Amino acid sequence: MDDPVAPFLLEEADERTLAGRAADGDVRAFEVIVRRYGGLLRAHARRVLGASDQVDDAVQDTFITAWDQLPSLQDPAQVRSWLMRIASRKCIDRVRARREHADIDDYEPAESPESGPARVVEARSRADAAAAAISRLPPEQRRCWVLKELAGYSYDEIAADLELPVSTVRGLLSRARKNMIREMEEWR
Amino acid sequence: MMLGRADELGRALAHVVSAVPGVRHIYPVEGRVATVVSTLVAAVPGVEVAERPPVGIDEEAGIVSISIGVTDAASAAEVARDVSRAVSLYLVGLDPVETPTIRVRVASVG
Amino acid sequence: MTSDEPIRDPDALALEPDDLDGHTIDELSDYLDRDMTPPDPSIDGSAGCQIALDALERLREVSRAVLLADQAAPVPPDESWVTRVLLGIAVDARAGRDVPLTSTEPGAELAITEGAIRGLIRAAGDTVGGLLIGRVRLDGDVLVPGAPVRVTVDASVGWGQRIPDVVSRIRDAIHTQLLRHTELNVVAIDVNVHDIHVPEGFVRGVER
Repeated sequence: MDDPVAPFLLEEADERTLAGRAADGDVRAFEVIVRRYGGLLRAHARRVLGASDQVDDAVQDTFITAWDQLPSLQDPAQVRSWLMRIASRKCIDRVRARREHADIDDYEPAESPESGPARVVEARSRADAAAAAISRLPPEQRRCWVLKELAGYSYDEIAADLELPVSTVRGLLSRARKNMIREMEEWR
Repeated sequence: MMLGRADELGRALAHVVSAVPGVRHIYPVEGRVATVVSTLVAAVPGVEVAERPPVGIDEEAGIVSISIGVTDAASAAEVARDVSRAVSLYLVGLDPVETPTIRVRVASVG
Repeated sequence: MTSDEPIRDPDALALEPDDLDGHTIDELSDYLDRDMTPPDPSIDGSAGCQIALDALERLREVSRAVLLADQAAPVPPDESWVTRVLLGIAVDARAGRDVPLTSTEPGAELAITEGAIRGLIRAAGDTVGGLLIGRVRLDGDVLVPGAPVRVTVDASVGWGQRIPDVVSRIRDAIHTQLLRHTELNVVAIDVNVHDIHVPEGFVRGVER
């Protein structure tokens, strides 16, 4: 064959290839996974945790657990949602620990400037507007909404992980949805 | 096997192994060897030496363990045999009371 | 718990049961979750519900947009972040079993790890070019010298190549490498092509 074969770099590989290689011990493939999903997981952790110095710690912890559990990952094509679930768990653990240590039920420091525009209507793109709207939700609403709509949790799973009654979760989600719809319709 | 101080022997063996063509890394020994050389082996020229000692020596059981990475240029099986021969020759030169078991494990290729 | 609903123009969007012919925004969201099946005439026939469903659907689209934007975001601000993660993982844990190698030396116990064998199979794929090997499986009693071993690899093949040609090249390359470095009795090499990789910008409108 005369035609040179187009180079096919690990950085461009699909999830199943990367997850399979990493499960077999290929650190390079795992590094690609870390780079590809690091930003996503940090954003996710920031939403679940709120502005917090625990974000980096939770995400690193997520990747270390992911490396250990990769060999038993059933569907390697679902790396993204699987990582988000591990990250959710890591963040929720931290939220719970925070609750136990704080007097206030849901103590949360002020939003950091990196979480996007302060006002939804000022956002340049739809995704930016949504990110801003999410960050403006009250913490419990935001946590439930992010777990349900971004991480793909069921009502029961959210209730179990956050140690809240399912009816409370439904109520929080209901308010979160209305808030999100109103914010987003305003942006439109 | 009574070959003198384990850390000195470990260091010497790391040099012997690193000189075998096709050896690219010497990996640190794992916990499976009961006693290992106690001090960090000085960097062996041309070989990456990790923080843990690269040669495991179990004096009581008479076992010398080495984990290596080999280059793709040679056959991994051949390099493993060459390494065990080189170690064996070195140990025979020390005139041991009994011949130790030499475990060579290829942990990476290329 | 907070119940601070933002104060807005009451006409902006009607989302309460009174506006939704008795349905709640939750019910509508669940309805959307199950792809509106089985159809519910009391929802499908309600103008208020349809408006709310449209808004919920847009919200769902925007969620996907958020995930994509997050993924496109620069990973960590500093390189040391990635390094720290990689230093934290236990690479030894993937070594697998020690596959024996024969020795002429008395008292020598030689082996190559399963991890190393998988690594050289991946490398064989990389040298062929135009494809990437994913997961590698060794089936058979690799601890018994001479026992038949079947190799199964997952592969992703680059766009524009004849798959049978690629598969044949990769099998040859793997076989050559295994013969060279190991003493496995390889009776079969199965290649599962699970993905055709389309280079970015190569075909318009094709997204992975």
